[in-house]
Amino acid sequence: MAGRFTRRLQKELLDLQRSPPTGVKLEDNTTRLDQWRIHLTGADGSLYAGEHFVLRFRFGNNYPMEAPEVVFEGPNIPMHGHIYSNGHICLNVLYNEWSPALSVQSICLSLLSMLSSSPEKSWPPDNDTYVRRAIASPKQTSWAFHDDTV
Amino acid sequence: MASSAYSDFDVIAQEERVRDEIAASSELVSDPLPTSVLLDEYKENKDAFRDKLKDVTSKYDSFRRVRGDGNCFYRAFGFALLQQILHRGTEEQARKLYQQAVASKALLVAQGYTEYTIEDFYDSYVEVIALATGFPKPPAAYDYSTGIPVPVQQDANSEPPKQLPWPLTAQERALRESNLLAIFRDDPVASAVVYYLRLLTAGHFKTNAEFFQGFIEDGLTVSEFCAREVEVMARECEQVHIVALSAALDVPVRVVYTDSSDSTSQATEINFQEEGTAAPTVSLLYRPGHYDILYAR
Repeated sequence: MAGRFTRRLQKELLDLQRSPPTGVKLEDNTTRLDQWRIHLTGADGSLYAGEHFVLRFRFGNNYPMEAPEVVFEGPNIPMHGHIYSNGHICLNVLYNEWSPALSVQSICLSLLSMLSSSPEKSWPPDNDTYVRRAIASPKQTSWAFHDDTV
Repeated sequence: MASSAYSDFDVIAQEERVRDEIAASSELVSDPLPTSVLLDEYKENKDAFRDKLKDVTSKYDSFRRVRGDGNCFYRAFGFALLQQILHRGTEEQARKLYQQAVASKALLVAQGYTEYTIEDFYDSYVEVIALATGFPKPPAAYDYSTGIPVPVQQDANSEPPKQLPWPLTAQERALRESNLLAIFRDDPVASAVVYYLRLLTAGHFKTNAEFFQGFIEDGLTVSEFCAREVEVMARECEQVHIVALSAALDVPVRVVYTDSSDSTSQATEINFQEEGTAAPTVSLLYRPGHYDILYAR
């Protein structure tokens, strides 16, 4: 699988470097294939317009058969009803609805769109409990997805 | 408002253990077994389920177990299809299966799939079809560093697949079948083939969205349904998935249903894509929640 894994990630890397979508930028000094940082910029007209966020992607050997681990990192975590203050993200395609036909780029676009459609800036109601108990990787969390509309 | 629920380590660990146990205790595709094994397996059952299994053994003499990991329908279908082509297929059927495999990537891209996310799965699928049918791998691939199509590099050590004549000799059939079995047991490649069959299923749903919309519940669109129930690995299939995949490849599928409902003591057979022309009929055994491959007497 190593060859397959490498080939797929190289294609994704090239695509992101060559034609990044608006608001998505791969960190310049990306040297490791198994861990990337991607900068998102909140879309114009949204509550997050012009704000910068950093996403960390980690890819296991089974990528793309298994989802990457994706978290927000750094000092600026977007305050959003589906994003916890420790950077963990409650989004079904990152866990139980991951499809190997999705990509880093499609995840970034889903997250930007999730930010754009948010009506208010607030943490999830169970943020304190979750952050206190959360384990290191959000992929170890057993998520329940209640509402896709926020 | 969003809310989330999460469970403790032990629950997750438990789930992982169950998954690992399934993986460790069963091959992806087993060797053929006599169907009488099924009767032994359920010898404590005195209900209609066992009667139906008896009915199965009277018509089918052997079966292969397929791992129960949520992908069993696709895996069983894929292996049984290529085996049918090898043993009972015609040259015309082999060519049709091969040509539609080669053409399929462009069709999926036209439906909105990103080429680089599907082409590794496509390559594995075409490779396995080429192996079974003896047609060569298509000559062009896409080089993402230059953005232009390039010839596929031939592996110097591998002999090119044997061309026709068709029908194959018994020796050639046996050789190809053992190569096929090796691929279907080799998990990275086997998963890729299984995943491509999921994509072909989803592609058929999307091209015939108007027809399938009526079968889809919970107010989902056909695309949403595909994203949740077809394109995700290990998501189990329902009858509508079988309708879609058998129609997508034009392959007749017979599913022999067994369960413990006592309205009848005979197994119910349902034929999908009855007039399919791309292969001889693929027969599958259904026990609640699981598909295996069946061979008629």
